[in-house]
Amino acid sequence: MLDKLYITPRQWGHIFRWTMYFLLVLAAILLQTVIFGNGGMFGQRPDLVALVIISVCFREGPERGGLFALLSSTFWALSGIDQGALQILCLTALPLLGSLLCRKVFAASYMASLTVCILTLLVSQSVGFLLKMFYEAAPGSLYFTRLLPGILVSLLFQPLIYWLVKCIEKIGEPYEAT
Amino acid sequence: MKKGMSGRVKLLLILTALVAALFAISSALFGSTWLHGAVQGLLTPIRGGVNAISKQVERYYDYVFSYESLEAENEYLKSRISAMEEEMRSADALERENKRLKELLNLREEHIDYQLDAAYIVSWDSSNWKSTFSINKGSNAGLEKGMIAVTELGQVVGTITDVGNNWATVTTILDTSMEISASVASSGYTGVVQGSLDPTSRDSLRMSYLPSDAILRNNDQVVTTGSTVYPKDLILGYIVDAGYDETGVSKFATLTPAADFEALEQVFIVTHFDSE
Repeated sequence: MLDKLYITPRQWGHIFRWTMYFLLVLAAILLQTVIFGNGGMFGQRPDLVALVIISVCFREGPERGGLFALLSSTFWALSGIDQGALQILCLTALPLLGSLLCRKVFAASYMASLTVCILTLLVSQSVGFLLKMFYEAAPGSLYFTRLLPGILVSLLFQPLIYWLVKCIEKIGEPYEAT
Repeated sequence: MKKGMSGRVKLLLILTALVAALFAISSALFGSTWLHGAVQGLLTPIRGGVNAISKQVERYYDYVFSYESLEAENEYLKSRISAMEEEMRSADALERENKRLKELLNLREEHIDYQLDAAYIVSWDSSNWKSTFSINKGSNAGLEKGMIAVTELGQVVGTITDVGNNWATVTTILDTSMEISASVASSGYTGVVQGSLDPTSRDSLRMSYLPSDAILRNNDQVVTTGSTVYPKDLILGYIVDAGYDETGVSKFATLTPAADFEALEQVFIVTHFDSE
């Protein structure tokens, strides 16, 4: 019984790694809503939470990364954002499918990750924008003046977030093989 | 491809669809759930802390890099304070005189009895086409949905649209979902003020349904007409442009909001007012 409760150093490493991922999501939420909330960067609010979720999903693979994406996007939706259900759907399904496709067809390179990021941001925000147009009669010109610049500003943070996720991914890696 | 999706991935996709559907249905039926409240309740103090730290950093930065401008601003504010004190002294005298005249005419002095509750902004909405923010007070402080938020100068900021125990969400007048009955203070023309997502000017309002023969001037003040939700004569903004709407049968005016949203840190919630 006690043997089963014993946590190996490697398991501790895993727990630490996933805790670090969660803290990264939390930091992204705080940065996005508090620091960049009013004013933003170049007048746009970067979508940092989506970038963290996509990067983790991409690095950890569709199964573990997908579960993390589901939990994180649900937490993000519960924090009071607009169109929460759509965010859960887009921020889980798209990175998961992107990660799956990249692993099966392409190499899991940085460029593939960037492509998944661009596609996820484009699809999730475009669907959200279409709903906004349909329900609140938002003018279509905003797609080019607000949505696309917003995605471009978000992508400025992608290399940093990808690098942070890559560093965290190394925590708890097996070192017996060396 | 080596093989298709594994069973776990399929299960995860089904689970995602279920969670999203459940979230959409519960939001539509019940609004904020206890889970929503728990996450907001957890995040609000953290956001408040981060906000306080970032303000301190900002102040330190301003102190280091804008010392001279701060000194000049300080001098200017001192002169403004002394000028205002002088104005207050003369206003006191006028008020006393006014009171005597009113008593003489047996007029009843009217008071709009506002009860205000101060709250700090802890976070802003992350979307680029929604204008809402969270404040650090909620139902514990007696706040309710529909109460309005104003600045210390009586300028309308927005309406509370969601409330938790220690937080509340305020949808600002800039948001397209907001519609407020308003009038031009100088001429009395009435219309409806709506948030505008005008790409050329982020923080602008649009006043619609004005009479086609309305004469509108720049810098005319636009105020609330008053209802059970909004007290009367609160300042919404100032006219900067006007024209005929798409139908050609009524006029519209473009307003610049009276409240400075970029510099907004604290708001005052009107918890009670006399609607008569």
